[in-house]
Amino acid sequence: MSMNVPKLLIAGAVALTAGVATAQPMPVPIPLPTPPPTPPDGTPPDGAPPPTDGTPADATPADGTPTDATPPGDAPPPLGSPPPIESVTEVEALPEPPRPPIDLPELLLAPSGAMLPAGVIYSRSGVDTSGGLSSDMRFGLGDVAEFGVAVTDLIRGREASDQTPRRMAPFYTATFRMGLAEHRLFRHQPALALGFRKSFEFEADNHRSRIAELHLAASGHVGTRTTVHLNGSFWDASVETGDEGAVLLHDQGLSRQFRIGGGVAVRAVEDADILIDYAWIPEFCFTCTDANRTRLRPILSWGVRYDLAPWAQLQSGVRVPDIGDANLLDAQIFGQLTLINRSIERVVDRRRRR
Amino acid sequence: MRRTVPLLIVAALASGAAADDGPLARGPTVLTIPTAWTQPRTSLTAALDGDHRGGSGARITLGYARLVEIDLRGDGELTECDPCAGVDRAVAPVRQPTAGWKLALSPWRDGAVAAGVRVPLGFRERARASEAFVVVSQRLGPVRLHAGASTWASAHRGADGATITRAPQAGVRPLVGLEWTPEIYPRTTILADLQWLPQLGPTAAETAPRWAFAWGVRYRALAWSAVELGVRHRQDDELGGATVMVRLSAAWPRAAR
Repeated sequence: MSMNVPKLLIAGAVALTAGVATAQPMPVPIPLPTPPPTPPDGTPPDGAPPPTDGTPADATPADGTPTDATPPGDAPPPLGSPPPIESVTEVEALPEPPRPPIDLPELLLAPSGAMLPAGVIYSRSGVDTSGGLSSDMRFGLGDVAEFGVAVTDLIRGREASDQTPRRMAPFYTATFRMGLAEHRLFRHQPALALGFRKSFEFEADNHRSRIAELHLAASGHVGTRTTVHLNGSFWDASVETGDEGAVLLHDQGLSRQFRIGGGVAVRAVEDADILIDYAWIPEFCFTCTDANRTRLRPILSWGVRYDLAPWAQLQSGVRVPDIGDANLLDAQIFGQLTLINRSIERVVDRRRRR
Repeated sequence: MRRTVPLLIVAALASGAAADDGPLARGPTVLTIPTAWTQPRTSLTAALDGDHRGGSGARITLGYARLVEIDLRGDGELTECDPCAGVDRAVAPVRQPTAGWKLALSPWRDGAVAAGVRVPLGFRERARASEAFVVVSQRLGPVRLHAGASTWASAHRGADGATITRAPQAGVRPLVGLEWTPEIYPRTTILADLQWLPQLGPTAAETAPRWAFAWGVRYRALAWSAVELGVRHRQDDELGGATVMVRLSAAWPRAAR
C-alpha cells in the first residue's frame, strides 16, 4: 500500500492536469511584427558588419542545409508564438499508468490492515482436504472501506465435549471494514482496519448459532520483502437449543472474548509469498455448560501465495485447527484461488481524468 | 561393511555428475520417502504403481512457485496387522487417499530443505493417519543424498471397538535416501531409502512405527517419463515377504534434453 499512495497521487495529478488543459480555450496565434528586409550585401539590419571570411551571418550554407546539429523540429519556437496545440492531445493520449499491486485484506485466515482500493472486486474461493468449501467476495469502497459476504467452513460444533467436532457449513457471514492506508497519517504509520463480521443464523439439529467479530488490524512493511500483521479480535456468539434461551459468549466475561492474532508474509521469490498466520475461530459444544458452550480455538496456518497473473493468485497451505493440542490428524491442506477485478476502478479513473 | 560404504561413496563421487537434471530426476520422492526438491517451474507429475501382491497406487503432484508441491495420492503405505506377531502374523495395507503439501527452499548451492505434511482426504473413522516431515537434500556430483525426520499421528478402531490414537509426540523417526546416477548410464538412477511407517494393531501396544527399506532403479526412457522398479522390505517380514513393485511416471511440461 505504501507504493499506492504516491502513484495514485501522480495519476491524480496527471488526470487533473489533463482535465485543466482540456478545459482551456484554444490559444489564439499572436501575429509577429514583419522583420525588416535584409540588405543585398548581407549586412544585418542591426548594423553589425558582415563577417570577413564571407560566411553568411546565419551560418547557413548556400544550399540551404542548416549546419547546426539541432534538427529543425527541435528549434525553440520564436518568441511570441503560441504554445503547441498538440501538447493538449498528448496529455489526453497518455497511456494508463501501471496499477500497483493490491495488498489483500486477509492473509490466510487472519485479517490484515490493508483495504481494497475503490472499485476493486475481490473474491477468494477455497477447498480443503476435509471436504470443506469456502468463498469470500468483497468490494472496495472509496479507498477507505470495504464490504463483503462470505461462506466459511471453519466453524465447528460438537454435541458433547468428548465427541468429535463436526463442520457447520455453510456458515454465511457479512463483513464491513474501514481503515487507513499505510503512511497516510504519518511516515511508518501501519495500515489500519477496523472490521466487523457478523454471521447469519445457522440452524441444524435443533441448534441455532450465530457469531460476530470486531477486529482492529494493523499491517506494516518491514524492509522490501516482509509484511507484518497484528490484530486484536473481540468475539461474541449465541447458541440456542430448542426452546432454551440463548447462551451468549459475552456473558462469560471479556477474557473469553478477546484474542490476539496476526501473521507474517515474506516475499520469498519474485512472484510468491510465504505466509504464516494465527487466527481464532469459535467452536460450539451444544450440551456443555454455559461457560463452555462457545470456545475460541486457535488455528495456525502456513502456505504460499503465488501470483499467477495481476488478477489471479493461487494459494495453498496447511492449517491446524486447535493448534494448542498439536492435533496433526485434524490438519487440513487447502487450496484457494483469489481473483481481483479492477474494471470498475479503471472506469472510475477514466471518468475522473475527463 | 565399514569399508564398503565409504568405497561406494567415493566411487560414486569420482564417476562424475549426471547429465540430465529434468523434473523426473528431481522427483517428489526417492522411492517412498519425500525429497526436498521442487520443480524449477510449474509442472505436473503423475505416477501409477503396482506390485506383485496385487497392490496398486496412484499419485499426481503439482509443483508451483518453485516453492511448493501439492499432491493427491492413493496407496497402501499404511498397514494394519492382526495378529501382529507369531507365525500367523498377518499384515494388510490400509487404503487411504491422502493429500500432501511440501514447502521447500534452496538456501545453498545444490541443496534444499523441505517441510511438509500428509493428511487423509475426508474423514475416515475406521483408520486414518497423518504425517509431518522435514527433509534435507544435497546433490554431490552424481549422488543425491536425503536425510530427515518424520512423525505420524493415527487413529483407528481397535479390536474392542474403541478408538486407538497415536499422537505425533509419541515418536520422531529418521528417514534417509540415496539416488546415484552413474556417468556411464546418465538415464539410470539407483535408488534406496529407509523410513518408519505406522502399523496399526488391534491394541495400542501393538500400534507402532515399523521400518521400511526400499531399493530399486529408475530409468528415464523419455524426457517426460520414467519407469521405476523396486523392492520393499518391512520390519518383521521374512526375506520372502518383500514386495516387488513397478512405477510409471510422467511429467508435464517435459524436460528439455
